[in-house]
This record gives sequence, structure tokens and C-alpha cells, in this order.
Amino acid sequence: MNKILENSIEKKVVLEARDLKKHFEISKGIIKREKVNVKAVDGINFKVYDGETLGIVGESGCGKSTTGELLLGLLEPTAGEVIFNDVNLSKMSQEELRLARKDLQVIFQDPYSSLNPRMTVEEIISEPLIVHNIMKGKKLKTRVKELMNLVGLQEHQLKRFPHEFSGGQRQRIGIARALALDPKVIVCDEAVSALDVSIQAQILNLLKKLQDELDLTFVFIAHGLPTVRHISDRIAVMYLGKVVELADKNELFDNPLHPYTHGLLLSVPVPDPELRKDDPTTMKGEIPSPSNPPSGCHFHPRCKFATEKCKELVPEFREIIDNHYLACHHPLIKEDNEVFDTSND
Amino acid sequence: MEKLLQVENLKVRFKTNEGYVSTVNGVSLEMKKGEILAIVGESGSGKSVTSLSILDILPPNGEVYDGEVYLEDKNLNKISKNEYRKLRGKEMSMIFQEPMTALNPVFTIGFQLRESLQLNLKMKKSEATKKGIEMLELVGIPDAEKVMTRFPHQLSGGMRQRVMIAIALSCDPKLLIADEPTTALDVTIQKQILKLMKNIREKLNTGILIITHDLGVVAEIADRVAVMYAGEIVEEASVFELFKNPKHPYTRGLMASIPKIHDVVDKLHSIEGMVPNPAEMPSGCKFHPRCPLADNECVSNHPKLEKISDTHAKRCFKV
Amino acid sequence: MGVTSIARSPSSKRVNKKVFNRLLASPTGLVGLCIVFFAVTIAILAPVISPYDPALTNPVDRLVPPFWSEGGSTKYILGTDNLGRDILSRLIYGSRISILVGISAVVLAGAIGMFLGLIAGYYGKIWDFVIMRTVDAFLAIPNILFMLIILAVLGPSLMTLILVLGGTTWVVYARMVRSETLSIKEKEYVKSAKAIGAKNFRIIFKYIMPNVLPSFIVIATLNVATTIILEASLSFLGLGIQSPEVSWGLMLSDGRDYVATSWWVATFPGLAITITVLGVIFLGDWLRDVLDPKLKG
Repeated sequence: MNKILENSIEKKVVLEARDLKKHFEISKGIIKREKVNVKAVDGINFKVYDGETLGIVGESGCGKSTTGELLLGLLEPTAGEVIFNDVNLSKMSQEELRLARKDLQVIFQDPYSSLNPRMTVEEIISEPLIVHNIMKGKKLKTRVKELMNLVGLQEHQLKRFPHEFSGGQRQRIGIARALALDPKVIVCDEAVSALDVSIQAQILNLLKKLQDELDLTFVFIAHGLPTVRHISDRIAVMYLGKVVELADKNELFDNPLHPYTHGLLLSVPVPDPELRKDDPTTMKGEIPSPSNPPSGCHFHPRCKFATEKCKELVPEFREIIDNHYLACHHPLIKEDNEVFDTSND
Repeated sequence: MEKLLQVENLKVRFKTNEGYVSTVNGVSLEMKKGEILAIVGESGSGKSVTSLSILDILPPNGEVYDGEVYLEDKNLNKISKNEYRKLRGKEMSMIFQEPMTALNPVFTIGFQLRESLQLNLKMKKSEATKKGIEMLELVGIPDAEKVMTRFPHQLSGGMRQRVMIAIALSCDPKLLIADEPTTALDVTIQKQILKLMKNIREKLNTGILIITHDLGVVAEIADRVAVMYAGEIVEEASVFELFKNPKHPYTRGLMASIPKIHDVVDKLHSIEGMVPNPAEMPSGCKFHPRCPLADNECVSNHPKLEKISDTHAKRCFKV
Repeated sequence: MGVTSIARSPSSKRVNKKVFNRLLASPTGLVGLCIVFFAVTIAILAPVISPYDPALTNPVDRLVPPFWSEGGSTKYILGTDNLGRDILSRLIYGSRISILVGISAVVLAGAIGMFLGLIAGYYGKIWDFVIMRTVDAFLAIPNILFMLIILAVLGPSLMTLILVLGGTTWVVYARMVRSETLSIKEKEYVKSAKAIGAKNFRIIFKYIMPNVLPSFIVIATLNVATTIILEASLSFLGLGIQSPEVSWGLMLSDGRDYVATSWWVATFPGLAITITVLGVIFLGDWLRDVLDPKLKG
């Protein structure tokens, strides 16, 4: 109990998702138009603390990118709310939201499509400052140069267009643009996934450095588990629109309680042939379509431990050990753990 | 084991507005029957171009201007375009990164499976259907008969990649080239596909040339590895040897720069700079501008790929 | 933005050189530029270079063939028409109207189409519905018939001709701009503009329009060509340019009755239209390459 108390005193919540939902309506069929409700994000809850990095991992269709856009206010939630700095983003008018974005920025996945090809680097980086009328003229120019130095670009590249840069450099331009307004929170949506391995390391190191220097809070969305583990403090695992597990990164990796997390960890190819496992643990089956998710616990058709209960009852997302949240009827609890198996109740 | 594929000093160039740009500069490879060889490299390393030139399916502005390719004893440079076409699909075939774009959206899976069987092996439709179902079962597709009548968009990404593999294997080729076969897939599905590829090698003794950027995939599946950088092989070794004892500074840098799932470091090692543009290749050793060990020799002289043991070769002066 | 940013950029020297090199590398582009330049020069210098008044009739020298034909004279290099008017002079003056109508109608149509296309594509919903249904309505009416009716009601004049041509052909641009806008709207860089808090106005004019522009310009140049032809058709049908003014279409119309006996009356304006239109098309293709941002810098 003490620990929780400590946490609440020390850490300030900067961003919070409360029962957040986003459903998309898609029309299907040519003759008989059927409306299908895709539950991209279906009731998620988490808090992001000041100065930390919250990683969100999951496979395609799990809703992690939609979550990112909801957090940024780029999408309007179907239900639930996003609280940013004690203010409810979901209740804001377009204009208020526009102003709130000063503190809430984003770095996109694809450095090729996230920069306007018809603007120079200078225009791209200075734009946020111009849009919010923060500075202009000489001061603006100095600030742009400062930002370029900060992310490791050279000043003489100011007048170039994005296509003249490599992927890694473009991602640096995107980072500089996100930093221009001195935001508190940056959502990184697959920020390194499109880059080459050796460049990924450069960008990850840069992000870490910037976080230390500028006291930033990151929400790091990615599908690559090793990358997420490297950069995050806490990690949320998503599956078909829901967060299934959320814990401190070491806790999550060393002691995964959800069978999905466990399977995901085992699926990651380890860059060491000595550890090659011809184990039968390969997760079977496919990821179901979010337009028609399985009943009960969405993971039950692929889960080894699934029972009748899992087919019928949606497991509640709850704190099961200190700061370890879980949505599962049959957690993978080690025998010596004092937490009882909830499947018996 | 018998030799399956031999590539000798392959050089490929592309015609651009600024003249010819060479993207593969003297690649030599050897594969035995039933072997899984991985070519690893970053974008622009020439790994995909190498595989495309083995199949002779380079884009129209690309050409092999030097070097030879042998499949078993056949010199592929000496055969006509038509004979080459017959080899593809029958003797060697390829699977691609994005199975959605590699399958034709307007035909059923069954049609596409039968097509190559009827074309290459002159099978009758009923025979081809039977063989097609067999192939789908081989690649682990449940309900194969039903899937034969489906269209590509009705299948998931993992299923489509299985179908691609089934089509590629349908004529029982000796060589399967897989260009980033799992990059577009989710990890849990990736694992299934890698396992499938290993099974296929066991069952059919197919040689698999896998092109990837992911060292994790390499460690999982390959017997031998060739690391490519800027159009050359910079290191080649058996997979165990390479991961235990990487020699070339590029290989080492690459390994150090991937975050490990079980071994968390505070700061990742990173290779400074970026992959050179093929039009502006550095002098001497092509890695020298990014190499921590480089000295004058590396700037002025181009190192040869030299053997340091039976199973290990490297292209570097310094290690 | 394409052109202005070239002018603004301090490295414009390098850019201009590259544009120039690209022009040299594209023979058709060069040809197109030459033809258009030539046609425009002629149109501007018409009073200076034209040997005769284009409206001057000369009953004595009716239907004189070009100078190289039998019975031709160097007095009328390209011969005369049924009223004895000098064809060369008429061609030179005719270029003024044809080019003026072609360009102004396209500018008008392009401006309307761009604006409505951007609004429909970006804001969607009711805006999209209203604008696109209007476009459909325009497309459903036979173009020429529609123009003829309006011209007949308003009375043919240069101004009404431009208004009618511009007011009916904008739908092409609106459709194109809307569909491009729809795809560009989904690009990550537009999301990134929203993420920094840019207003819609800024997103439309700084992000979407510059990226629509290359395809827009290609379509526009092609439409200069079709507009010149449309003008010719309307004049041919008698509801376009009226004598004593002259346009290539009107000349074609005048020559219609003499095709069998005096081929030159209709052939030269026909050739003038063909060559100018080809030149504009070549130029349009080349412009598309130049406007590619990858060329700059």
C-alpha cells in the first residue's frame, strides 16, 4: 500500500484515457448495404505520468494507432474521455483543441509521408511557431537553427526539401517540428519502424537524450517489442481494441501474466541462433477481424488456457499486483505468488 | 551435399537520369541443396537486387553487366529469355514481402494455384486442383478445399503469405527465394511462417534464399548468412559463427544496434552516418566513413573478401 | 506554390539551371515551349507583322491559292478566302482571340473548379454533396448544346464566350481537385499539420493546394487545348466570335463550303489549331515534370 501512496505523491498524471472508445462504421456489400461497427478502440483506461515513457504494443488491428490519435485529439472518441493536464480534451471546441495541441505533439511513423514535400525544412520546423504566433523574424530563425542542432541536423540544410534527406534525417526533421512548441507530451506513433536498423538506434538514442534534456513525456506506440522495452518505463499490451496488460516494463517482460503477452514475447525472434527454440509455443491461429471480435475475452480462440468462462465473460481490467494491471480470467501466476487465481471465484 | 546455386562476381547496374548507377558490385554466393542462406542488409545494400537478378526479373532499367549465375550445372547466363521463363516457377520461385500485391485480386486462390501447375507441369485441371489442395494443406491452411474458391482479399495477411508459399512451391522448385517474407506480418504470424519455411526445407529439401533486414529472423531460420553493405558482401559465415564471433565492424555495429528483448541497455550502440548513396560511393572500403576502426589504408584500398576459416569470410583490413 | 517557391528560394540559381537542363533533356518540352512562345508572340505583335487588315475584303482577289500553287502570288502568301481577305493576316489576328479565349476561359474554370473542389474534398459532408451533385448535373447536359443555349440567350460576344466556356468546363477541375484532395487529406503530413494546430485555411492552402497543383496544371494545359478547340467549334457553329472579329474557328467555318475547291481556306486555320494545341500539350507534360518537388534543389 505504501508504494501506491508514494507513487501518487511523486508522480503527476499528465495524460489519461478513461473508458476510451472509438467505433468506426463501415458499409459493406454492394446490393444490401450492411453497416458494420468496427470497434477499433473499445474501452481502454490508463494514465501517463509526468516524465515517463508509456509504451503501447500490439499487433495490427489492435487499435494502438487509433489510441494515439484519440490521445492527440485528432479523432473524436465515440465514448469516454481523454484528460490532458486536468482538462478534458473530449469536451473542447475545435479552437480550444487547436490551442491545446501546443503541449501535445506527435512524431509519425513514415518520415516519407509525414512531411509536406512542398515545404522546405525551415518552413516545416518553423510552422508550429508561426501557427501559434509565438515568434517571428530573427528570433524565429534562431529558434529553428537551435532546434536543428538539437536533433542533429546541420544549419546549412535549412532551405532543402524533405526528399533530399534520408529516412533517418527526415525523422529528425519531424522530431524538430514536434519539439518546436516545447510540448509536454509527445506521442510517437511507430516512430522508428520504417527506419533501417542502424538508423533506428540513432533515433531511439536521440529520443532518450531529448527526454532527459527537455523533461518530456512520451507515449511510444510500436509493434516491435524489443524497441518498446528499450525506450519505455511502463508498457501497455493491446489486443483487438482493449488493453490486456499494463505493467512496469521489467515486470511485464519477466513476469507476464496474460497468455497473450506471454505468447507475444515468445514469438519475437531472438537474434541469437543458440537460443533457437523449436518449441511448440507458437501462438496458433490468426488475429480476428476487429469488425467481428470473438465473444467474451477476445483472445480466447487463440488461448491455451481458455475455458467456458472466457467465451462468455469479458474479463475486467484491474490492478492485480501493485501497478500491474490485467484483463484475464486465468492469469499465469507462478505458484509462490501470493495472488490467488481468480478463475476459481 | 550437392551444390544448388552458384553466383560468381555478380554486378548489376541501373540506368538513371545521371547515367549508370551500380547497386551490386561483385557478389559471389554458393548454396547447397536444402540449405537456408540468408542475405542481411539495410535498404540500399543491394540484397533485393541480387535476388531479382538470380531470377532474371530486374526492372527494365536494370541490367546484369558482369558475373555468372549457375543453377546446379546450368549456366543461366547462357540460356535464352524463354528458357529462363520456364525455369522460373519450375526450378526456382520467389515469394515477396507483401502477399496482397503479389496475388492477383481478381482470381481465386485455386485459379492462381492451378495456373502454374497447368502451365509448367502440363497438368490437367483436375490433377492441378488435387495438387493445389495438397499444397495448401502442406503450408498449413485448414479447410484447403474451401480456400481454393476464395479471393485473396478474403484471407488474412498470414494466410495470404501461406498461399504465396504454396504457389511458389507447387512445382517443387529446388530453390525458393524469399524477399522479406515476414516483414509485413505480425510477430505471432511471423513465427508461424518461419516455422513453416523450416518444415518445408525438412520435407522437400528445398534450398531457401531468404532476404531480410531482421537479424532476429536470420538467427531463427538460417544455416549460413551473408551480410551485405553497399552492394558487396562484407561478411559471410555460418549462422552460429556469425552471431558468436562477428568480425566485420558493420556486422558488429548492426548487432549492437538492435535492442534486445532480454538484455536492456541504457544507450544503444549506433552506427553513425548513413548508408551511402550508390551514385556517390566512398573510396576504398565502402564502410570506412562510418567505421570506428578506419584508417588511411581503408580510405585508399578496397579490401577483398578473405576466408578466415572454412566457414567464415570477411572483407576488412582491420580485424 | 511551385513557381513562387522557385523564385523565393535563395538557391533559385541552381534550381533554374536544373529546370533548364530538364527542358533541354526533353525535346518535346522544348518544342512545346517554342510553339507556344511563337504563337503568343504572333498574337501580341499582330498589328505589326500582319501584312493586311484581316477584315479587308477584296472582291477581285477572291479565293487566290497560296503562292506555291498554280495561280498563287506572293502578294497573298497563304492565299485569300471567299471574300478576298488575306488568310495569313486573318491567321495572325485569329491567334489573338483563340489564345485569349483559351487562356482566360481556363483560368476562370480552373479558379472555380479549384475552389469548389478543395471545399468539397476537404470539408466533405453537405458541401461535398451539393457541389458534386451540381457537377453531375453539369456533366449530364450535353456541353455544346448547353453553351449554345446560353450564347443564344446572352448574345454572342468575346466576353460571353469566355464566361460560357469557363462556366461550363470548371466541373472537370472540380472533380479532379476533389479526388486529389480526398487522397491528400489522408496523408500523414496533413495529420501532422492538424497536430501542430494549423487552421483549416492553412491546411487547405499550404498543404493540399500545392500538392494538387501539379496534376491541376497538367489538366489545365490540356484544357487550354480543348478550350481552343471548343471556341473553334462554337465559332464554327456561328455562335462564337462574330465578324468582323476573327478567330481560327470562324475561319474554319468560312472555309467549310470551299473545302472541295479551295482547300487552303479551311486547312491553314485547321493546322494552326492543331499545332498550337499540340504545343500546349507538350508544354503541359513537361510542366508536370518540372513541378515535381524532387527536381528542386
